[in-house]
Amino acid sequence: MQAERPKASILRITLNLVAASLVSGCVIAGVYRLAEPRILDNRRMMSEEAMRRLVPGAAEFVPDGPNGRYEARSASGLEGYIVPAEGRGYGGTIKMTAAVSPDGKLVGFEILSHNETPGLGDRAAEKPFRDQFSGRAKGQLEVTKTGEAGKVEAISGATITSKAVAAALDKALGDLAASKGVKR
Amino acid sequence: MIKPVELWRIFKKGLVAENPIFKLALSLCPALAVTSNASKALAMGLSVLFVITANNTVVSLFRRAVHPKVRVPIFIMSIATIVTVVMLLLEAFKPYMYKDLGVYLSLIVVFAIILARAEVFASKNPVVPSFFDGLGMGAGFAGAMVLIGSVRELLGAGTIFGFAAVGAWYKAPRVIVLAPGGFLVIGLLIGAFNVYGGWRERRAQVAEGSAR
Repeated sequence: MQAERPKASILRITLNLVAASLVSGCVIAGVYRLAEPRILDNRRMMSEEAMRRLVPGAAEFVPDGPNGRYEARSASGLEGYIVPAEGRGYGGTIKMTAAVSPDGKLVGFEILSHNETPGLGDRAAEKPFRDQFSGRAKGQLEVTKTGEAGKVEAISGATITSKAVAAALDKALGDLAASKGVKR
Repeated sequence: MIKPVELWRIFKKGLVAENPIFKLALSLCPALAVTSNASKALAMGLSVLFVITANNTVVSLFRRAVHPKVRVPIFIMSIATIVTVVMLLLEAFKPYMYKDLGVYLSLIVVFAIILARAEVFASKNPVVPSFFDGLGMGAGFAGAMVLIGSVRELLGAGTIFGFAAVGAWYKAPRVIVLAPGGFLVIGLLIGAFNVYGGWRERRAQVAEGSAR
């Protein structure tokens, strides 16, 4: 390409990029401003919905501490706790929310995000696997591949995922117990 | 004013003759990553259809204002802006769809096919043809995604769009849904596409020969 006066060209290029960034920034800022209230509403609604699926009896969820933990309350008092849990699975971090009864037993859990193998590890989100966890306390979350009684049976072909989920829930139960023990 | 026939030609070439995935072999990454089932592939295909059309229009509108030396960063900025706007709007108005697509949506920014159409077509053509070019390429992309997704879902899980398509006797080989299966299916489909293209060409030659 023929070099036109280089100084003018540099200036033009700079102005061009500045103008493009400015337009792009304004468009995004404008849309964000309009969308933000709805986005925040949606997020609140969705996380509340997820918690309600875990503790259907609760009337309200009160934030409890800075770690994303909630107390699920109903008219008759404390229904349980909602605690975050995460662990390293086969394909990356598995993020979950777990419901814990007031006496420290698992009620259930939901997987919020994961990167496990489709068809194998992602079956951790399905009912047959999840249902094994309810009623277990800390220390009762050992994973078995051979179907030993009293243990959590691993998903076939996804032992790493199964162990990661169980370990993360075990740790979440421990954390909850520890912080409650210190507080009360 | 451009004739509708001309616009149809611009639109049509993206579907088969210059299909982004099967012919241009661009954006194979999403074609591998987001096609383990048909519904995901369709959602991704439609998102790309929208972004590529919008971006072609924007690039074409500003084509005279963009300095040629910085056109690529500016095209990328335009794509990123459109994708961000789409993500914000989806999260505001279709939160469940956003939740399903969230991770993949931001990846649209780096899809080669979108930048390629901006560079090859929209930066050199007026707005209306650019719009149709984007629409055609997007439709070709979406169609190819759904085709790959359907084949993989049918072979790998025995379902299509989540509905059972074959009986319980079918033992689905999991490998089709996993990454290696993606390579296998895409390779075979590209092969089939080439065979079909060759056959059409030969038939066209024969027709031409007999007309003479």
